[in-house]
Amino acid sequence: MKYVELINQTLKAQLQSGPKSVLYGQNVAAGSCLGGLTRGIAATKSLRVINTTNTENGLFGLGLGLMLNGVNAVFAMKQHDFMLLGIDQLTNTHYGIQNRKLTAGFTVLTVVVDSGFEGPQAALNNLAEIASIARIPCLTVNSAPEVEWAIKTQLMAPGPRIIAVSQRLYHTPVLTQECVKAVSNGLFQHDAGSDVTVVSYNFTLPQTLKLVDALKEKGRSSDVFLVADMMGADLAPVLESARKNGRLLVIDDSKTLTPPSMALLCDVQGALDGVKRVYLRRVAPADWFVPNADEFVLDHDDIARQLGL
Amino acid sequence: MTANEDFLAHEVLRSRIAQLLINEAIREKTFRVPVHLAMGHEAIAVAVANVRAPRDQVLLSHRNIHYQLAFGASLKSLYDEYALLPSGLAGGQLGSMNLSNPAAGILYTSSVLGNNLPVAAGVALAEQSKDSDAVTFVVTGDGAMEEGSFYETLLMLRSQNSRCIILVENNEWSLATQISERRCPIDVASITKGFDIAYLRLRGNDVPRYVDALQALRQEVLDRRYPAVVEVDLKSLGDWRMPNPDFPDGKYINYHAGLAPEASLSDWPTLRDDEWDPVHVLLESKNAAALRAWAPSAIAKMRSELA
Repeated sequence: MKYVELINQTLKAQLQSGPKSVLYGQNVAAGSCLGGLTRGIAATKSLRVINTTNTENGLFGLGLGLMLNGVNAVFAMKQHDFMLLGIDQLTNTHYGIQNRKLTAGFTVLTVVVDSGFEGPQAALNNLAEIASIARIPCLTVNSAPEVEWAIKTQLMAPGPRIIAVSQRLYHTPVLTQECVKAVSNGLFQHDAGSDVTVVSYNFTLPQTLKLVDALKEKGRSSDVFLVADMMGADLAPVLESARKNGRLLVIDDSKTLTPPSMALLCDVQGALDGVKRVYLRRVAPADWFVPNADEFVLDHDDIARQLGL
Repeated sequence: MTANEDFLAHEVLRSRIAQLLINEAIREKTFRVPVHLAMGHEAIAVAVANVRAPRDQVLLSHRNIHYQLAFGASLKSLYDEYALLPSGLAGGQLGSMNLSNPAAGILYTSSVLGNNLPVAAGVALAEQSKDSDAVTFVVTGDGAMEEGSFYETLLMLRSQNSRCIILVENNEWSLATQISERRCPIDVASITKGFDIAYLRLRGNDVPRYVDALQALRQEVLDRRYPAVVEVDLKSLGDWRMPNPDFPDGKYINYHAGLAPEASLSDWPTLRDDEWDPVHVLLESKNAAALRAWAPSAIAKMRSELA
């Protein structure tokens, strides 16, 4: 099954059997339905489905108003850059209702344009900064366990959030690898080992798992974590693993100068004394802004060398 | 004068007296949060409070004290909120410009120009999802309606046929610039016609007439299942002239926020003698003499509330 198909099926089951909700956005029930993301999700007695106007700022306020008035709202959008037009609502409105006891949720379900060929839009593969200024949870889904978690348990939880899916992964076979341990706070452990602790951020799980396979061929095993809630995951298990293994590799393909993965390395310096650390992240080349394949390729041999493996 | 008209008149007076007492506290530098008084805006707020049904919810903007009072907040609870005390209307957590009071029907208030409009569209859509017959009211101004969110909200409301009434309090000013200084005229009637949205214009601060007009409009919104815009012409009272060597008669300062330095409380708390002052308009009612007689005791009672 493809990545987008699993998300679509999970979303459909959740929305059509859930409490009173509104699924809305541009072309959510027309054309390709956001490339299949919302395909076949029809209105039911409890679900209203709206193909909306092109009024992104207003559409964020619409969702927050629905939530404030006790109705779940899911705003599905084809491109994450639409969020720039709604930043007033995501920030100021959210700040203004911080202390409310909410009974409904508002989820921005967005496709992150991370394939590179869109040029400037792809250069905004940078959800962390939007989530940071809005101070709302931002969840990324890479594989089946996170799809299940994000859509079944988070989609309609009270309060606002962003759930982000990757355009690059859209039509690839969904990763169905069983988690060693799925942590409810947005931290998933995908493999267990004793030589290195590998932490994947944003949409890097596929490359990370290939790297781990390459290390296995060298006889090295890894604890592999995916941080699916980039703002709120409790990273204590990661630190514990890194201290145990003596090596920490952090991989993040966010195009930001202040990635949340940096906090893992900066905020816990004392806790990682004696741990060999390698940090793989984007730097800002000029080609971020022009159409290109923009693949975040990992050099397995070089990484193994840096880690001393 | 009917009993309801009598009630409305007393509510206008109560609102004015409360605001002048808040103004005295501002003069004493009691509050650290900025307070936007709404003297001159009382009539529309009292009318909306009288017209709304129990399920109807209201969304406000930075200048909201007149609605807080009209929707039942006590002077003391507002005073304490502005002083950021736990005994305030919102426990001292919201201050003035973002003050909401969901229990009284004021669901959300935003200090950001145009921010509350799309939120109101969501609130109205939620009512549709609940199959309710509530109407959502949202208050904005002639400055905020310059924001794109105003037009986006008209489009969203009309496209979903949501029952929402947008109240544009047109005081002609956006902080320190008049409409004529900052933009071309906007014909709201034509804009709403373009969207096929109902439009009503109110002027004169005659509260019973406002109530009748708003009741009819609310019913039209319910029956036809569509939104409406009400443009209310009014003036924010409390303007004054600041001594300035370049202006022999003093430099004109429009009231925006904080202290209205020349506004003070008297036994009859009028601020100007024409239709732009809702308190002055009360003098045209049959009950004017009784209202005049009531005002001093109301002032004393409300002052004691703060003692």
